[in-house]
Amino acid sequence: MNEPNEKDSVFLEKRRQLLKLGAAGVPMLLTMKASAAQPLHSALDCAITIPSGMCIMVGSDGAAWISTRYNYDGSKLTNGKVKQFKSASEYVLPAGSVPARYRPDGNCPTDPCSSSGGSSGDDDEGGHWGHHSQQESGFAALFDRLTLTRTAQADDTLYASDWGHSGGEGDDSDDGSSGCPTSGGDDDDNHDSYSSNHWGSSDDNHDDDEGGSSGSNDTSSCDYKIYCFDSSTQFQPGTFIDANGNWNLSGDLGLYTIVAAKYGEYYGTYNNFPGVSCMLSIMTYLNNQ
Amino acid sequence: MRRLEDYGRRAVRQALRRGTLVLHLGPFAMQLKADSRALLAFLLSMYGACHATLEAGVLADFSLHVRAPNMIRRFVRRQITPDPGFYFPTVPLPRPMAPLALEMGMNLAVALQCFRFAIYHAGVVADERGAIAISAFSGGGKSTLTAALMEEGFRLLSDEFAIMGLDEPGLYPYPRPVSLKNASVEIVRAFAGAEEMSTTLTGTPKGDIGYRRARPHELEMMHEPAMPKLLLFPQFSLDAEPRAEKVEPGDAVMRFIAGSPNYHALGEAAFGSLMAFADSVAAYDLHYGNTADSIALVKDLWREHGS
Amino acid sequence: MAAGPNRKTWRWRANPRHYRCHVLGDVTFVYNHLSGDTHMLNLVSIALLNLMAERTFTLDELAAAFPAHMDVSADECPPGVVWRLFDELDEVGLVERSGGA
Repeated sequence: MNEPNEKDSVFLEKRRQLLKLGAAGVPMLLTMKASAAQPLHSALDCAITIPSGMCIMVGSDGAAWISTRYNYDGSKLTNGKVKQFKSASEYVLPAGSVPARYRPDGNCPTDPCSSSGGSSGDDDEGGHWGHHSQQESGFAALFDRLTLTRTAQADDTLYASDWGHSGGEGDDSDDGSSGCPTSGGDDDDNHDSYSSNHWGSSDDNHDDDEGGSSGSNDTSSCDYKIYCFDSSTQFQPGTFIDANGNWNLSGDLGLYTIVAAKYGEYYGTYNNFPGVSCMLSIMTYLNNQ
Repeated sequence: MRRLEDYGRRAVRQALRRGTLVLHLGPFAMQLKADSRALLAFLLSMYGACHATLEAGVLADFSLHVRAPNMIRRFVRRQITPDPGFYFPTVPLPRPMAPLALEMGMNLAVALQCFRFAIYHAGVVADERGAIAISAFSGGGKSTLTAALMEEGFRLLSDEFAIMGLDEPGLYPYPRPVSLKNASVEIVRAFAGAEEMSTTLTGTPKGDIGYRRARPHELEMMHEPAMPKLLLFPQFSLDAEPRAEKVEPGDAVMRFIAGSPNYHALGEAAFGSLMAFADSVAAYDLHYGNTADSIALVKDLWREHGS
Repeated sequence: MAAGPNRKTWRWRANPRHYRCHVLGDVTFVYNHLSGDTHMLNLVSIALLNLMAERTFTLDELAAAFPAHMDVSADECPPGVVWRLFDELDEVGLVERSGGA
């Protein structure tokens, strides 16, 4: 392979495009974490440590923004705060990534829109995540012959069938009757210089000053919900797996498990999302049982 | 060294029970212990031409005990499980599936205990021009393509592992039987011949499983590494139009390394050999809907890159 | 994710003796002797690593120097992006603090 010619215009354009991706939070450096880094035989025992202060903001469309730099105080969520959170987010997952039960409920009552503030535990339905057609990773397939009994596990993995799609588990999108602002920040303030400069690419800067009748520059946002982990939290995702190899995910830790797995789906094990190696090792194991 | 089939069945059975049977295959000596008729029959059929020793005290790289998961399962609803000498969360198998436990255990032992080579999950075949590594997701068609290429003048290095040298990218043979599932069993039986195939294990949760035996000349050449020239990522899907798409070398490496159980443990030596490997191969995604198309695609690529 | 405390006066560098690079197309694989990890860097992150191998920088100096090194305008490469890139290199131990303030 030849060294890229740094004077080449194509080369420069590639770098420009990559810079834009970098501004959007896409990792510019991937670390290869081969299986031996996390011994396979402890796949089900591995633990995830969620960094202190990590918050996950979930949109009504199932998109998610993850940040450890945003100091969420648990107060009413406003469009300005949403915008700030997006700017400060280190990881972003697209629409459809988070199941409906973790999304804001779409209703926007007269009282301030709710936000969980970190202990919602809003899910006790023990969601059985259905089937998917995800292919096994390379190393996963190595143990194809480890396959007998517990057939369901070969097909039931963490990935829900509706991941990556907006359909599936229900539609939380606004129905127009909620009275909620449907989109768009009407704020043009609250951008501290760090957030806006550091992260760049907020996509909702509509900046209209007329939104809402509250008289405030920063109206409530009902399209987002924030989950925070106040202190460093360690847990074993394997405890969410029942005897049949199905995932029963609930509460904030369930959400974190989903997000970590989803990030792994997008970027493989070559990223720095906390816990992604653990998630992938578990899924690799389950894929081959 | 004598071949396994050169010993009498009784001697092999006794050595297997004692745990002194050692298969000498490629770079590895694998000590086996089991008390299973199904496993004994499978060994003699599929590994008969392999070099083997039966006496005690032979140095082995790995030790594998195929046994009941506990005392109860020795007698009641008898089960069997591979024990490679370290804990691994395997699911016990019905006893008639001992051959599967053997193959699984041999994979585990090499994948998780070998540190003399960098191990990657891939099938490998070679001819005098060089080697083709075939890396695939489960169901992608790796083993079927590997078996098919054996009929096209390539020798089998391995169906399961690309065994790469440290600091150099040569691929080392480990010619064990090719593992086939479901429809692939009959496809390969049709072109390889029924006499080259194992008894098919039916009723497994993943369907039918059968093995295609490594051939004598492949065992004779089991100490001759081959230099890699082509890295393929086959993706079989029914009725797919055949096409080959070049894969960027960086992407190819990322995918390939995802199938390594020991790359990280080997440090810079594995890095060096992997980078040399990446420099020496052209990488392609192969899309196809039947074996004939896959062979045609590989032949075209081999004309271009196998020199 | 920020890898730890970071003062504006601290100076940072990359030490090429601690890693080994191999270019494959548009990406560069980097083996870190200190961690034993292999990293894949794209055209942007390897550019930052190479720049930091030339001399030491404070983070402000780095943010000021990197756009020119990349041959792009400062608007295209704002300080926040540079710092995030730096964080990624720092996180995996490819850069190190150099001396005192």
